[in-house]
Amino acid sequence: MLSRMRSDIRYRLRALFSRASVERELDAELRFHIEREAEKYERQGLSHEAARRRARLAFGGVDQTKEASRDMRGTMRLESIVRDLRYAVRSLRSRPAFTFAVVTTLALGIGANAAIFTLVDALLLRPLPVPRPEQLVIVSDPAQVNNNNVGSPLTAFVSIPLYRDVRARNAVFTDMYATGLTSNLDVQIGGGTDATTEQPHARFVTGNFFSVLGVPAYAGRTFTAAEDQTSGRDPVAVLTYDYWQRRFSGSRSAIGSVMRVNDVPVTIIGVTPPGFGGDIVGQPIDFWLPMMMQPAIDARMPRLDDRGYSWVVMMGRLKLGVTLDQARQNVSAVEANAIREHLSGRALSQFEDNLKAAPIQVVSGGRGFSERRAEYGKALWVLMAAVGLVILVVCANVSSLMLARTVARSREMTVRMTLGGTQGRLIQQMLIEGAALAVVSSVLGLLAARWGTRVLLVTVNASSTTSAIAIDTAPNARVLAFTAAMALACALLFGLLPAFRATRVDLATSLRSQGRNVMGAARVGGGRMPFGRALVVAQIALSTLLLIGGGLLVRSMQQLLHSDIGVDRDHLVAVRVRTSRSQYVGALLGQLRRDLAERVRQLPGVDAAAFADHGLFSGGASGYFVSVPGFVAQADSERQVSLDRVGPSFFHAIGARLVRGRDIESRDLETRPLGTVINETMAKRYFGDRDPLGATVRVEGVKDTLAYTVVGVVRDFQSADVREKPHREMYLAFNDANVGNGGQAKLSVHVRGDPSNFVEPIRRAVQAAAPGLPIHVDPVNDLVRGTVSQDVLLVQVTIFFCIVTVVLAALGLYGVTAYATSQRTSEFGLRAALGADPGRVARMVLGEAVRLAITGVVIGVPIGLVAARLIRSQLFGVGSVDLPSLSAAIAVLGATAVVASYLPARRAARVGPSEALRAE
Amino acid sequence: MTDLRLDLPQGTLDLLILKALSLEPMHGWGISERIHQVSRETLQIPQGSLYPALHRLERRGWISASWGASDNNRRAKYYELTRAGRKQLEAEAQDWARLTTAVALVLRMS
Repeated sequence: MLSRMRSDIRYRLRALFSRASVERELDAELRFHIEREAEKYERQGLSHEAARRRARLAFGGVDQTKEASRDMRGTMRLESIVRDLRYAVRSLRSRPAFTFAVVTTLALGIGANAAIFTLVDALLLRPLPVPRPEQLVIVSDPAQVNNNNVGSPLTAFVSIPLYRDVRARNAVFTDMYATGLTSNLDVQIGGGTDATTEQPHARFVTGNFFSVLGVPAYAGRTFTAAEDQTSGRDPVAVLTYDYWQRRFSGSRSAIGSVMRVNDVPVTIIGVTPPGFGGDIVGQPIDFWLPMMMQPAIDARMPRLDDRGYSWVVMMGRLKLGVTLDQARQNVSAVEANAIREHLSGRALSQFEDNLKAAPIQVVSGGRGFSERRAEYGKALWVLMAAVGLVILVVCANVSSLMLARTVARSREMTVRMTLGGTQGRLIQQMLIEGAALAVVSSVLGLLAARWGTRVLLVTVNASSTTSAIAIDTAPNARVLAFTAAMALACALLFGLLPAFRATRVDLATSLRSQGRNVMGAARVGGGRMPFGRALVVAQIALSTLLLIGGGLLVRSMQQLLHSDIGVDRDHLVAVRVRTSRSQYVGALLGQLRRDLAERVRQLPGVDAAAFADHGLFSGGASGYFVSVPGFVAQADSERQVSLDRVGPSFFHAIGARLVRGRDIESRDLETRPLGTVINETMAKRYFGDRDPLGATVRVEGVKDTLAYTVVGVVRDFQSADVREKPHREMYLAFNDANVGNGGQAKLSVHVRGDPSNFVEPIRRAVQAAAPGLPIHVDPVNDLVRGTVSQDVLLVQVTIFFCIVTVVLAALGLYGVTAYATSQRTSEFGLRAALGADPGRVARMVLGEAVRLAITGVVIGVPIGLVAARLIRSQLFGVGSVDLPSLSAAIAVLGATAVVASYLPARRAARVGPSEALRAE
Repeated sequence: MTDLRLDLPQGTLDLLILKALSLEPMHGWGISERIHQVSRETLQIPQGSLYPALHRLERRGWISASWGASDNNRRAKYYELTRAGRKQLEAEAQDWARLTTAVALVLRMS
């Protein structure tokens, strides 16, 4: 059996690779046979000639025998494919314009899909590059990796004591680690004069982080249980490979060297392997610090032993044979009990209520944590759908190009089929031509995708300063497989349809019309290319779909960027000065805030400037519980308000409108009771129809409860997220520099004119007042833009793809119209000869193109309206049926149709009788 | 020449070729002539089937081919039975015998 297989393979290989000699042998063999046969007949008395003829006749069809013998070699399929491939390459090279058009559009379509898929894969699909990722389980909200909260214990992210309890008591994990954010770190690398301060990305992790994930050290060592023992004892760090390469040029001597992290000397002990970018997908990471170093490095807020300080997320590795469900049951029970032990009374019942509403999340951790996934996930799927439409349009386009070509080759097809070529063989050949195009285009597309994803990421990261995205965009096996599958699907789509069409040749008609070209070629494929027209209609319908979606997204972004958010957004500049690790603390910081506001206010063109704790769109927010006389809360959540501390004239400065009472004034900083301004939502919720002015609101601080008197009510304005409806918000007079966010001073500045013109003057003024401190000055609209960066990304990319599809649809329409026109040259000539008005001929051609466009739009609009409902969650301020964007889409397509058919129409109008005769 | 042509049952052509080759190496024409003569001119192998069959058998490794000089000193492709081919011949011959006996038995039934 084995030897038979071997001989079989040897035989086939020889047949394949020494095809020429095998063919020669077959020839010789058959010739020999016929000669011997002829000799036999001659011996029987026939003449030489007659004998030869007889022998040939007796033998039958020599070519059939050859073909059958070749078949027996078992390599026919492969051979014919190789032959078709050679033929395809030759014929594509002989038509560079056609090939260029097809390859460019295909590469664009495939590249767009590969680019978006790369992002989808990196952010949404790819498992962590660790051994057995399917065993990893997240016990937290996978998106809450950058959060911290003081107050009641939470489960979306947890405190370190709670982590210790769950780790010790669960029965399902071999081990589990915790990871938490660091505050902004100032890191100095190297000593002496060349030491510069930088702010790399780092996280605190427990000592078992690397062992749970199963990530070995690439160089040096990783953390061990020893680093988990004593607070502040092990100032060490493990670097990512990328940071090591980037910052230390991959030098071995970096390991063992010391960098200063917030002035704490930290020894670099190891590097993780290349390709490992941490457990948090989409977020940059440069190094890890042991959890126990947190109090030493963030000296202002030690977080290790406070059960009220939730700030870490947890990941465990399942014991062998334990399922996710079992883990969920065990861990949620363990965690809930651990929380209950330390609660009583109202807090306990509150916790039970919350637990019922939002159970503890125990979810698969194979893909890691990710804030960006939650942020960008939906947008990416929308984009994936958009590029899916693009590739369909591309396929339709290429399909009609191929069809036009096969129609042009109809004579060749006719002849081949007359000579006995089977439909299957012809289809195979056309498919191979398609495949050759698809393969070349995919390679180009992948290169384009590589470039495209980089551009996308740079765009996103430029528009959002706070949440940089870091993902690996190198094409991996999955992206390659996706691209290959897509190329194959495309080849089938645009190869098969025209192939079937073209090989359904009506032999009789086609042969008869060989001499007369008027209608012959056009007949192949039926009538005047209804199939080509169908493709154009499909393209326009798909473009309509995309344009409707794109229009909605554009309108939505306009709303996001320009809607009334309750403040004078177009004339505001936000200033942020980092004061952490400077001499500005306590009263000095308070003084700095006042000084800065005063200085900036004196700049020409500046109307007003006010300081605040969080201010506008700074990314910070504080939640507090309040009690209001006359309001009985049913649940704790009803007592929660969002709180900011603001300086004098803050509301005047930001252009917010006070509906009752007055602004915060200088006297509020000095006198008691302390003044507060509340927003309308808060006033309505707690006071209903009562007058809030003069009422007392008690704010439960971390240590004590303070009473504030309401002095004003401000119209709701958004200060953090344009999409969200404003919460209940209150603004306290910012009189105590020791409370609030101590590490920075923030101003809101109202200017006359374009805020971007004030960025430099304001920066200089602040620099002069507080030399040496890091300063950020941004127009508020830029900050708003940063908070909607995923929308910006979505819109920019969608617009790009809309343009691409419209151009493709225009080309398709142009192609079909031009072809139809050229086929009707003689008809137009005849009309001209009979005295038809050239204008009428042109109108006729235009009319036909417009009819196609209208058909496409009529099909596309209802589908588009249905599809628009799917992206409703991405929209802001527009419904899924939006007349302005809908009419714009239709207008664009109408204009496209006219532009695309203008040239063919003009040509048709100019056809003279003599030209028509020549065409005959 | 009046050939009493019989349609060869499926698979018998291989058997005949193998058998013909079991005596000595032969070229294609020789095989066809030999079978024609031995069958008392009853069996005429259609040339259209002979060469494909030879190529098939060669691929399966039952026969091997080599170029040699024919009786009148012309180059011809000679086929020769391999060991595997000999085994195959035995097996097929036995099958054939069993089949014909069985068919004959059935036909003798009255």
